[in-house]
Amino acid sequence: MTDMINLTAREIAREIRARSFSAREILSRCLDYIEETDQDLGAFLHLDRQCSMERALEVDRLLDRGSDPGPLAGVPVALKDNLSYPGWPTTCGSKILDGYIPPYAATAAARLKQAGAVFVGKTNLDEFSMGSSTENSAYRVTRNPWDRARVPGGSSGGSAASVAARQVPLALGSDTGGSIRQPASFCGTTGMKPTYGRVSRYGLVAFASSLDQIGPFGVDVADCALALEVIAGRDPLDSTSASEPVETWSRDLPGDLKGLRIGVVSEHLGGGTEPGVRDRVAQAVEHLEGLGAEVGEVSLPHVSHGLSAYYLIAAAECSSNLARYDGVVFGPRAAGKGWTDIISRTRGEGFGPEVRRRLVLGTYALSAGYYDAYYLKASRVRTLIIQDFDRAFERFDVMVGPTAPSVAFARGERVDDPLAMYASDVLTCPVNLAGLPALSVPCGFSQGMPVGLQVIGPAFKDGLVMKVGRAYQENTDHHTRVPAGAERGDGDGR
Amino acid sequence: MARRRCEPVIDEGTIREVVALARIQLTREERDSLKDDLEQILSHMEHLNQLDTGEVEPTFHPVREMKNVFRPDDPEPGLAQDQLLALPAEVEAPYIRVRNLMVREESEETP
Repeated sequence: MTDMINLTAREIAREIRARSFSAREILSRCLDYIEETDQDLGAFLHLDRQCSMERALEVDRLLDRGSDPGPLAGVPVALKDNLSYPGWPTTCGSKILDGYIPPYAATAAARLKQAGAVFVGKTNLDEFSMGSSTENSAYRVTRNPWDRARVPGGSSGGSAASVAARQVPLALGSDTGGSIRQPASFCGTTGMKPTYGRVSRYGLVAFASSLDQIGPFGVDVADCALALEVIAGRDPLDSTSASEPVETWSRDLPGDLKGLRIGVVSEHLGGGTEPGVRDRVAQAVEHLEGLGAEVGEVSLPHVSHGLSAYYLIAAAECSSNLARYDGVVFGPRAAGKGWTDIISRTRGEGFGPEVRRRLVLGTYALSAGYYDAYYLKASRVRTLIIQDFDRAFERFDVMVGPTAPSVAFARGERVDDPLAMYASDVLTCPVNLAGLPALSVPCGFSQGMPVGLQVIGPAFKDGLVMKVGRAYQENTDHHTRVPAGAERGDGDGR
Repeated sequence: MARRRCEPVIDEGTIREVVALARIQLTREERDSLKDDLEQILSHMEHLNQLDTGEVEPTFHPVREMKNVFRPDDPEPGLAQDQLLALPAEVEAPYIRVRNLMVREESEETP
């Protein structure tokens, strides 16, 4: 029989509701497997066996009483460590939040729990989500489950690696410039960045408020759809959350792609993208065409300026958002002579090199004399990129291309070259500038490493994006491949 | 990555000022290295200036139709004061302890 740990979240919830196994049993299996593998993988920053077990037993007791714990009954879920959960540390991978324990739950976490989920722990990330390799964490290194010498991508590298290695079937991450999709691509798992405003960000530690969005990592699109259905929707605690109705994506996604107009972004397949990645994506596009889609080429003429505009805007916004870390309310406070001295020492000791770099870049881009040349300029370029997407969506229902220009790169390769590191977000960050929904699904391998196909849709067409991914996965098996060491049970790939 | 242009050059005074504005205490080496990074990053971003954006309105957030969001001003249960006071580094219940802001501090002058 297949090891229960290789099941999808949907299958786990179904089996638990059918009492084939208990929430306690699947949690024990996951925690044991994490214990066995995480020394090496490094996906988790915080585990709390006792707290998780109490929660699993609560789910089992609900079932004993004949109540339904919800669509995610007993499903073990990991949370990126920038999402608040009461009683568990939230470090954001930063020393400046060492010891901080939030007294409340992020709305997305609260909704998952309400739907029956059992949290297993908090996953590693680049400090304050600033990074593309999870090498910027102050606490530990996360490795790629397919090749330990490579990075898992980032910033949600812990969540991506954990799902890819089948430590957990489902995890939450956040995506500001590609931080869900790029690690999903690098680790060969499915990751969804919903439309800006789809998911409440209450309890998510802010990085860049006009870009941040929470989303799921799953074994497949259908699991992501179920998770998104649970976490999406208006929340009175986040005034930027949208009132747009939440659809029953977990039920409504299946269907063919006949007549769907798919645009292949020509700029995304240019010379900056590795040949192996281009080939896999071209094959995936042929596959979508075979499923009935009408495929054409589309140009986003300003998209090549997206990366620079994104880095200026994100840096400007983070320099404002991270001003709150002054040693007064959160985390440790450094000793010093006067007020400014204390704040500056606290921040100098607490922030790592990449966060400092972006805070200084952002402060510079917003400061008098440079505001027009940098922040305002980037914000105007943002408009041009949005207009490119608007025009493209007049001709196409969705757009596809690679998620990242390369497969996962070697650990240490880009840590001293910020521009090379930033370049791995080149295909994902324009989507955040426009606030659109986008998905990364595995579409094969190059150099033995997974390649991701990115599907981008118009705002609030999250369902359409997931429908394309679902149709692709129903006709391919790339998403069922698991890295060596994660293959267990009868080896059916799940 | 090789630097493509010499501009923009950030002078010593500017980097000191920006680092002070960002309230981050750095060693001289750290500041110098940050200055190099910043120059390299900003040089790389020079391509934005090839775009004529004179007539283009800036976008500050991706929400198309912005409107103010109100809620009824009804009292609701919130977080308990003692829970919140468990978080800060220095507390004198029921207050968070901070330093006096109004004294002249010599350290303000040193970068």
